[in-house]
Amino acid sequence: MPHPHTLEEKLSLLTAGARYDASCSSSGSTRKNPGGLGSGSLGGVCHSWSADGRCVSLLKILLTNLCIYDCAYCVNRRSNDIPRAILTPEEVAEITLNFYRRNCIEGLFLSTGIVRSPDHTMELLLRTVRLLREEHRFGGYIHLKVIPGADPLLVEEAARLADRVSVNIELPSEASLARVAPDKTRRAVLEPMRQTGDLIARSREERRKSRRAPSFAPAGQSTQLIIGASPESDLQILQLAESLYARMDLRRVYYSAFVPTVSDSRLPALPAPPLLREHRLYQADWLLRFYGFTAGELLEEEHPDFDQNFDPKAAWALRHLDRFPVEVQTAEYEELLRVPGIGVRSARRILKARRVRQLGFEELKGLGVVLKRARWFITAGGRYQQGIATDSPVIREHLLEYKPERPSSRPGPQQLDLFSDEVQAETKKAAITGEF
Amino acid sequence: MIYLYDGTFPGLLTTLHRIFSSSGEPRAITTPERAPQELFARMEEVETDPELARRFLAAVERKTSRETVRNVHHAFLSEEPGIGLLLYRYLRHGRVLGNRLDRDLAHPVVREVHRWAQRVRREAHRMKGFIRFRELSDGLFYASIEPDFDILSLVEGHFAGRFAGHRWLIHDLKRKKGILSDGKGVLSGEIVLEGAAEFSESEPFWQDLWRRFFAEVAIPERKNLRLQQQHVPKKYRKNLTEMGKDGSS
Repeated sequence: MPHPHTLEEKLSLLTAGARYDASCSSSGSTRKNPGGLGSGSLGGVCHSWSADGRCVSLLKILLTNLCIYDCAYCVNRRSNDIPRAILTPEEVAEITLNFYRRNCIEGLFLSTGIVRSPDHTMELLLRTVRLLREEHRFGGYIHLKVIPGADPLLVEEAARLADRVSVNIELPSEASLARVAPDKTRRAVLEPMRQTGDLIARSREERRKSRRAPSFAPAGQSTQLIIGASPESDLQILQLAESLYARMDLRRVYYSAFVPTVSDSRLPALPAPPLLREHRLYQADWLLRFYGFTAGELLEEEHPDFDQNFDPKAAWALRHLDRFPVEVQTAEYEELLRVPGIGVRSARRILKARRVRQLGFEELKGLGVVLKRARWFITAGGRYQQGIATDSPVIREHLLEYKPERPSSRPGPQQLDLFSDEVQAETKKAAITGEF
Repeated sequence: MIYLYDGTFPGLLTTLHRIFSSSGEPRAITTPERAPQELFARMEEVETDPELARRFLAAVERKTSRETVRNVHHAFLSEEPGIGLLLYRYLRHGRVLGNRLDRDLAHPVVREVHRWAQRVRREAHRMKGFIRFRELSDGLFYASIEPDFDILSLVEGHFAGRFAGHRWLIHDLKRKKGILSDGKGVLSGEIVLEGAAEFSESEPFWQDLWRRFFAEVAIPERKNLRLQQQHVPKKYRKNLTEMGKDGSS
């Protein structure tokens, strides 16, 4: 195949090669850059939304799609016959700065294939980032990938220059990694992650004492797990995420539904990316980080995969009806969070509002509580909402995330279309806001 | 009594000060253009006093909180008819609750003020993403917007903090005003356009490159136009080159 020559052609190719990395965040940076181009925005900014419904906030590209590795799931693998290209550091900088000045992006997300060796590749990345930070005095957001197996000194410099760094685990178990991506060992991936976690923790301590202490990856580090390319259960994946959060000081774990880009006997031939499964994992991830749940509460060995029909929080509530009802006027914050239909924001509002006046169901609705779900699990002033019956099958019906289509509303097949645009849109919205 | 003011924030504050200093309930607080056309209505036109307005706002902060002041300012920027009267009722309730005012989320007036303030803040935040600049032939980076609410003042600091070193202008087409920076300071004022904008030579190249980048960013197997539409309402698409003239991408 002919190799692309022009900047436009190279950019198209290297953007397509980078899009399977789910990370899109531009938040977490308070970087100020008086007199220079670019600064951080703490909450992050979405500049656009792509045709697959994802936020676009960074120039997400590969430095090159050349790669000496042959990971089965990757479109850029060595044995895949595709056009290859490489951008120079100057070209990356020029594109970044020009998009930035037009307010198309918050900054750069730079990943790459492996060229010659992990260290050599890491150095190419660092040369590019140094050019932006030091010569162009660029203060915007930079998310830099860390190459598995790279020298600790290079990893440290990456964390020094970037706002966020990440190294992707991709396969949720050592066995799967060995079978599908033998060029990357578990150790090679986890070492830089551990090192970065230490740097971040230490720098946080130092900066508490002195503002001038160096900052390492102020927006933290993250990783990605591919869902559906290997046989691990939801429980195994969630337990892995839980221990990563606990031990590696990770800001986020991203779950990316496997998109078959190349056919390989080591990978399953899926008809479509497992989007529902990915969605459930994001919901569970939110429950771990913000709702005080543990992986063991959400899943168990006998039922290690999420229910298709109910979100993990509702499923838990149905299994633990003995914990309800919860009285909104007096319950603890942690108890309110476990009610389906009360999210973090509504729970906080309840705590504030109830100190000023008695809350009834009308008030709760105004505070953002989804009464359709919550009313089975709460009382206000000692009373349930009028007219509800509290036996289990009725509750289940009301907690179903997807309602079967009514016969009169639409022609055509009556079955549930879990992947319809509408359903996807609703569920993705909940995944992003984390309120449910 | 119907109170009329000049439509500015200090104007509203002066009016609120006048109302709180007198007795009696206002029937409406509005601008002359929006005033109800009644033959025998009692109207009072309030002349804006910037110093008085400043002192009034400081007193509000002392009696309630900084959060209340933020809510008053942001809700005002919604330009919603009736916002003046709503804010009067909000501050009157503030006299009772003091610094607990914004905790009383179940109170309808508090909730309404919060909602308007949140809508304004939400648009300002989205604008930080949707405002797009194009380089003109004289090197100025120009952006035009048509926001629902008067959010220019809320995004000024954000852009001033990141675009030092080159000249830029954000033009609110609806309100015929804008903010202009020489790379150091920011000026705000009325804008009158003379003639058509001429883009720099390289501008079409960068617009095209952005469109190409955008076209490759989506994973085809995950296409979800409905979700995309949800996030980018049609009213913002005009300004986004990647979204095309007919609103599609």
